[in-house]
Amino acid sequence: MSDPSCADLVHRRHAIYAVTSAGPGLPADAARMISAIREAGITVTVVHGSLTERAELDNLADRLVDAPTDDFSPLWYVAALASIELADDDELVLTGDGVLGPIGPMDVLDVGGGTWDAWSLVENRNGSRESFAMQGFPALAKPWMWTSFRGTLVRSGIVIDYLDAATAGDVASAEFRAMTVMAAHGWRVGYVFPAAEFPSNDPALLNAVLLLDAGCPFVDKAVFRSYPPFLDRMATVGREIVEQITERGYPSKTLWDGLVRTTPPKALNTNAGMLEVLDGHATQHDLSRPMSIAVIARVTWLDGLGELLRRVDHLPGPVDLFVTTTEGMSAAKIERALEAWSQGRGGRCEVRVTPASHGRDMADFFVGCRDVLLSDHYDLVVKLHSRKARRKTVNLARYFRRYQLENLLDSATYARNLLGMFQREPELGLVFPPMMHIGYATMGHGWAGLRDHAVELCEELGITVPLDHVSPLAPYGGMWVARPAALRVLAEHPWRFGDYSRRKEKKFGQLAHLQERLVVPAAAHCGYYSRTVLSAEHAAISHTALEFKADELFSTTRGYPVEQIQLLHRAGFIGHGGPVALLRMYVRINHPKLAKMLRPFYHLAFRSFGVLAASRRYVLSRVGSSGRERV
Amino acid sequence: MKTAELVANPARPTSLFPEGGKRLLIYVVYDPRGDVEEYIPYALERFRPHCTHILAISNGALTDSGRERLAPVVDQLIERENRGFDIWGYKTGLDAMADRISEFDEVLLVNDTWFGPVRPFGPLFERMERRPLHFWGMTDHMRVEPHPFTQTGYLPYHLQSYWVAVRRDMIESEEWKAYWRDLPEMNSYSDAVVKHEGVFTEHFTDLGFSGEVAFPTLTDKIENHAVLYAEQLLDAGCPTLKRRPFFQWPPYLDALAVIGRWTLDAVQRYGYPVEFVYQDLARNVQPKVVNADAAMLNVLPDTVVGYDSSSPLRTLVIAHIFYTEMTDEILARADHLPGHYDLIVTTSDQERARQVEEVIARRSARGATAVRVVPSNDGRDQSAFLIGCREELLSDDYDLVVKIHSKKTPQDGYNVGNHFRKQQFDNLLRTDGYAANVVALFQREPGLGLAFPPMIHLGYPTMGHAWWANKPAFVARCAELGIRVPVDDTSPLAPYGSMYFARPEALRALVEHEWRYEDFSGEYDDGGLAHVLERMPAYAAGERGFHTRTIVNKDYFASSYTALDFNFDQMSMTLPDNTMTQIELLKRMGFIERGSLRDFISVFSRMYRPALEPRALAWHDRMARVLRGARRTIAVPTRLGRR
Repeated sequence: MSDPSCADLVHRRHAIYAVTSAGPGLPADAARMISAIREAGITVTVVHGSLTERAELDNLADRLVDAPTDDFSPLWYVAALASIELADDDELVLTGDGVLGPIGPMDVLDVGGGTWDAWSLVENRNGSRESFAMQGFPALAKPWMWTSFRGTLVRSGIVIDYLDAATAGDVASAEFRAMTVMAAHGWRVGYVFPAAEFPSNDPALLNAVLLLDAGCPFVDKAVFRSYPPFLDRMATVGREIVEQITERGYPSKTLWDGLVRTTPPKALNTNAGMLEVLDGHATQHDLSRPMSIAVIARVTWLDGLGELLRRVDHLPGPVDLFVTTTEGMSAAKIERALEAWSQGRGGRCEVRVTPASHGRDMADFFVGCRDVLLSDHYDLVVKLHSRKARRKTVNLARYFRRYQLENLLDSATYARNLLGMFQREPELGLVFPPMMHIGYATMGHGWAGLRDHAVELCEELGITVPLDHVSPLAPYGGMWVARPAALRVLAEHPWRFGDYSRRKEKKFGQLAHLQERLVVPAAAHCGYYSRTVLSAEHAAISHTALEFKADELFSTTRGYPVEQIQLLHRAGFIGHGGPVALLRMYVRINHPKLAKMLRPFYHLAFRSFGVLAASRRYVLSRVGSSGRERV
Repeated sequence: MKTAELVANPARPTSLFPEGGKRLLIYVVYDPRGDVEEYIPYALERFRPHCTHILAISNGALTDSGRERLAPVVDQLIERENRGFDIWGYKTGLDAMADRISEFDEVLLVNDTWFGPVRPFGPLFERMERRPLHFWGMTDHMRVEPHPFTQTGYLPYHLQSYWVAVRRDMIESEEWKAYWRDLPEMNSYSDAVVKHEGVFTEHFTDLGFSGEVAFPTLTDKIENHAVLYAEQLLDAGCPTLKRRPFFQWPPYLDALAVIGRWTLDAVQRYGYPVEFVYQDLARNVQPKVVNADAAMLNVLPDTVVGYDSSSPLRTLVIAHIFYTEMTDEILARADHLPGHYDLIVTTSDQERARQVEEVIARRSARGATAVRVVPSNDGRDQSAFLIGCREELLSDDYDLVVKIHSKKTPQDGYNVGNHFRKQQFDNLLRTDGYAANVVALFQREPGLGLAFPPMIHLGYPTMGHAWWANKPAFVARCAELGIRVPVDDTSPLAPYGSMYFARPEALRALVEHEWRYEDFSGEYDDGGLAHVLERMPAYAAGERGFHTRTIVNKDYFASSYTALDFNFDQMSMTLPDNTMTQIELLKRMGFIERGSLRDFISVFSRMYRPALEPRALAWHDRMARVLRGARRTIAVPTRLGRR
């Protein structure tokens, strides 16, 4: 072991930067970080998993190493270490794309070699982080924030031993326990930002803003990627953190690029509070920078055409309007209506007749107007529709129509404010209202049973963005404003009207609904993020309703929402609260192992019950009502 | 308008309402306070041109002010015991007029369950007078099978009983007299529907009397149109707006996509004084229910919208400052208010007062300032406000009072405390523009009593539990203070954090009471007076007819909404059907606690054998004791053996 008094100044500094992001290019945050580290005079070895385009990395990094495994583990650092020669006084830094930065100067990282043999930037006194595996947020290994070792330490083999051992054991906590282990071996260790100086045990996760205030140049991405109800319980308000990061000059474009591909979209929307209540009064839209807009609207309910056109009128400047409908008679009527409407307007108007399909507006959009989406003529495409929903009550149909249209095109000022968002944020891909919950049983069931199909389709299209577990972030209702570039992955696929038919249900479920739920991940795959929008009036209606309902729904269980949710998830499906369901819930909560063992039997019983019930119904229908009396 | 169900066959001869005919109005009032809400004289006044004689029946005794309110607008008033619902009120009226009934060409049986006339009565009466018929109603309800109340048979198509008019031919018939003579007793709302409202129309149509409905059902679905399609009915010209869409359980209206706020928009569009609606709801409906049913939340921008600087409100800021290091921050917040304001700072001791005075001296005042040392810190900001500033609050010197204090909440941890503080200040006094917009709300709505941020929930387990241990004491205090506004079931609508904008007049029920510092002594805890009073302002304001709004800025809204949305989605994952059903199911199951065997025995009993619960639990506890004992007996020899 080295003698502290003889410790020389560190001569050379090496960093191993782990890139876990998959997909096409290198996210902007990683590129920025790698450049900054090199500018600080540190040699950077990048170890990466499944990036398909490496050209940018080749230019950026001093050295490039392929990761030994698909998912990140401390072994990645071991693999990279093999190619690095270290002298005793050199310094080795383990870092990666688990953090955003640098935000502000990086001087704080110039810790002299005299004091410590190993140090981490921020202490996590808990030594671990909570895992929410059942909710889709298990504690996984992720690249380290910034941990530095003296060459002596690395050369002694202890670092590699630790990384190897950690990989076999508790990978998720390896970073947080490293210093304790080194200290136990007699090395001098420390933290630049010890937890004692902050009001929590895990400042990187819980005190991101205080860390920035204290001069820490990084923000742990965990503040945007953790299980939202947990962050809620800790009163970590992501929207404020975003504000603090960007106020300090970190480009928001880079921030989103660092999060959007690797975070389930609805979780990101929640954690970063990516919902805007747009103003109907002031405008934040620059008329001198017009955007070329295509409106694609499917109209099968002609009575709704007038309102639709009034809404389109709210868009500034000329727009090109493409209306699809399923038969010639309607098309002729629409054409006449459009002729009158388009008098004196600059844009192009086109009516297209499309085959009636189960894909409805989605098929007309992705198949019937594919040329428009792929044309490169448009900065934005607005997707609207008007259809008669025969089964819905008048109130439901009206709420649906008003919710969709007013939250996108409430007034001319409102629409301009919405376009202003796209003007200011070049990586903003999609804007649409949040999931409806008034009048619709969407909550808790947003995938509508299509998640497995979504996973398959993502694989087929090469989309690697993680999907939300319970409900996806999606433009339920099928109206949105998007950049065509954000829709490209979906639009380029050669869909046909036949893909929406019943015959293809085995493959796609219901393709229209599936596409609706995949536009956000597909955009995220290309680095485009989504925001939700509400008008002030809809915001009031929706928040008061949600608040009241949440108050009722959370009233029969104890603790914070995160605990209440976990209890119900552990209990499993409540069904209709029958005795069997209650028994199953009891077993699942209190005897999870037994529940696992019993699961096949339960499924069998459930199926046989289904078969029995069906045969009973069949027999009854044959025997008729007289039979029912006998039974 | 005729509907198939209203056509009698064979029909008796019908007649028109004669030119210059006479109409008797029997109007039944039910007000639990006996005060008579303001929307009632407004309606009765507008009946006057169409009615010769107006007889009001009050189900239950009236107060003097109630009587005074009715006196100028009715010809006759009868107060009766509150029995038999509005139906027996009608009967009382008919009986009272028995001698004179032949004077009238039409009798109107109307109750007070609606606001109006939102659209004018004139065209309605004009139209209906020209129709040859025996009876007519304002709105109807489709046949429902099975009967939703009895679950057997069917609920016939019927005219809704809040408004039925009957012509002379029918009134003079034996069948009519027999109907009222033999009217069965009615002890519940269900009775009123099953025994009268549901059967009246069919009964008389079967007897050959021809009916009509002024505003038939609007869609082809079986729904209660008067409640669910209130706005569309107004658009169709219907003068009456049922009160029900604003007090039904929000998850029910929500499931049916009924948006009360849009109905209120229509009310304003048609020129009806919407303040009558707010006033009635404030006094008679649970405040949190109103907040949801009428979407009484305002997302306010930072740019000024609608503030009228030419009619400023006389404003008083009352700030309780305990953590004096926050003085500058608090005063800077207050300075966001538009125009002049007076300031009273209350604090706990001389030293603190001196520190505050120093800060005040450094800043430029925007009106009179005073620093007051309160004799006791018991009850903290609550007692300092209610006792320390009682005189100012009871004076008529101010239109608006802003209550703020140096909030730190150190006990809840840094993040939570920090967020709570921001949730309060940023939603009350965020910027100059924002604060002006809050004041503008009070300028626009003279009936607005209170504005404060919605219930804190990030970092706090308030959802579903915000009464904590305070409800029993709250109910008792309300009774003591004469606050009769219905109390919310699950969580109260309250300024959690105790900071708000208020009209002093709206707080009168709280302030008039002579509180003493001793009342606040003891632990500063749930169930204690300070926490009870924290929950009371909206109810106190409601008692005086003032309504409450919640206010938020856009950034807080974004964080709050996305979190609620995410949590709700997660929580619903394992539950069936729509939210209303989910809530009903969970409520039937009752409190789940930790999900232990004992908890599930409770749940099972509650759902299937409520009577069995105590016995089942006792059995469980006995078994658990036995098992524990057995385990111990086995454990001892094993340990000995090991040794």
